[in-house]
Parts: sequence; C-alpha cells; structure tokens
Amino acid sequence: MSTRDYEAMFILNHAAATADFEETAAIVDQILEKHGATIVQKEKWDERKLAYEIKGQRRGTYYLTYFQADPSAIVAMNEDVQLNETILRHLVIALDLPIAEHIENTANERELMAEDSRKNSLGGWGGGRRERRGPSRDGDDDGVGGDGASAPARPAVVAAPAKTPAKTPAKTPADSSAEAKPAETPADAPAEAAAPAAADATTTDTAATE
Amino acid sequence: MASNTKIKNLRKLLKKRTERTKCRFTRARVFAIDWKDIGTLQKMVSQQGKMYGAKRTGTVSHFQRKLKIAVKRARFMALLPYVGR
Repeated sequence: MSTRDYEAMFILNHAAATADFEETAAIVDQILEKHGATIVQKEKWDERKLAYEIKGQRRGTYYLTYFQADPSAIVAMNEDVQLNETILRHLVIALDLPIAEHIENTANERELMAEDSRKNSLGGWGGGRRERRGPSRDGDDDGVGGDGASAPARPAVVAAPAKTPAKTPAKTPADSSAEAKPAETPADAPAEAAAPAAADATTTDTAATE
Repeated sequence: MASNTKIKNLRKLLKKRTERTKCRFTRARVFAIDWKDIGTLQKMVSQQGKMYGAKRTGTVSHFQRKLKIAVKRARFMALLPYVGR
C-alpha cells in the first residue's frame, strides 16, 4: 500500500455549483474518500467560461484538489467520476514532488513567469516601457563606453553634483538634465534637484558668514 | 580606436539579441510549466489555438516539450481551445 501524490482538477456543473458549491464539492470529496484517498488540500479554483462546450455546458466551476492515494485505486476512481453527471470533466495528474513542495514551487514559478513577462514586455507607450528602459540604459552605460545619443547626456548628470560647490548656479544642471532626458524616471530627478539646492544653500550660508 | 568601438557596439547588439530571443522559461529560471497558468500558455499559442513553433518563440527544446504537455492538459480542461474561435 504505497501511496502517491496526486493533483486533480474537476469541472463541475456551473448551475449546481452556483446553487450550492459546498454540496457539489462534497460529491467529489466523497468519491475520492471512497477509494481510500486522503485529501490534503482542496479549493475552488475558478469559475470560467469554457473554451468549448462540454456536455452542452458553456460555463464551468473548477475545483482543484490535492490528495494521496494508492495508484491502483485511481482507475476505479476515474470510472466513478465519469459516471457522475455533475462532474463535466476531470483530470488526475501524478506529482513528482510532495504536495506541499509542489504547491509552493508552482506558486513561485508562476510569480517568476509574471515578473519576466512584465520585464520583457515590448510595452506600448505606457508605463511598462519606461520601467523596461531604466535598468537597461544603466546596464549599457556600465558595460560599454556608450553610443552617440546617451553619452553626452550622462556626463552632464554625473558632473552636476560635483560642479555645484564650485559656484555654478543650482538651476542650470537640473534644467539641462531635464531637457536631455525627459524619459528619466522621476525618482532620480528630485534627488538631483534637491542636492544642488541644498549645496547652493550651504554655499550662500558660508558666504554670508564669511 | 574605431575598431574598438565597433567591437563594443557588436557585443552590445549581440547581448541585446540574445536577451530578446532567449526562451522565456529559461529567462525566468523556471523548472516546470504549470498547465493552470493560462496567461503564459496563451502567449505560446496562436489566435487559432495552435502552438507556435519553438523557432518563432525562441523556446528551448526542453521547455517546448514541457509546454506541449501543459498546452494539451489545458486544452483537455477547456482552458484553451482545441480549435480557434
């Protein structure tokens, strides 16, 4: 009696599930337990429109379960599930990993995929594009000397804090940086603007004291 | 001097290109493809519901095989269509 870990998804009749989800889910649970399965986790996964009609139904309620059972019991269980009319369709998958680990992994990996698509989306004119360009531009400047467009703009910004103590007015570097790089993220701009202003204030103070 | 910048530009271009064409699953450093993750699966499938070739999406063959299984499971559970809409 060795058990294996399984993941099973059931599509329940939408009308029955919306009327009383607990009861329709209990039908599934009963079938699983009848065949000696111990249910580890169960959840209502989603309510969605089906990609195609199943048994004349256009919508379905998805019920996701994780359980441990004897592999030999699965065949009989499948037959039982197929005979039931409130279950439109089901899919049982044997897991390679223990259930808890599997759930954690899938959650993590889904997040990774979402993050990747966010980073690498080609974007339109919206905020996504700006997010993507920020780090890549930094990377270019670090790696390579720079091409024609970005090279002149960068030294001005870098030099700005260094120049300010040497009596240059605070406004000009900030303005030039703003003109040169309108696409720059706002996070940088206030910091730059604030730093020269503070520097200028200190210089004026020292001048006054002198 | 000129050749040096040329090489640099080429390297930069190459880097960009590999970043662009690399398999998204390799990029995300994922080990398995979840068949319930419809958002990512839909990106690997055409409007008609056909899977895009690995050449087009840049998917590494290892993941293309996993993707095949994931798409088929999703189709069976009516998460993705067998035939377009």
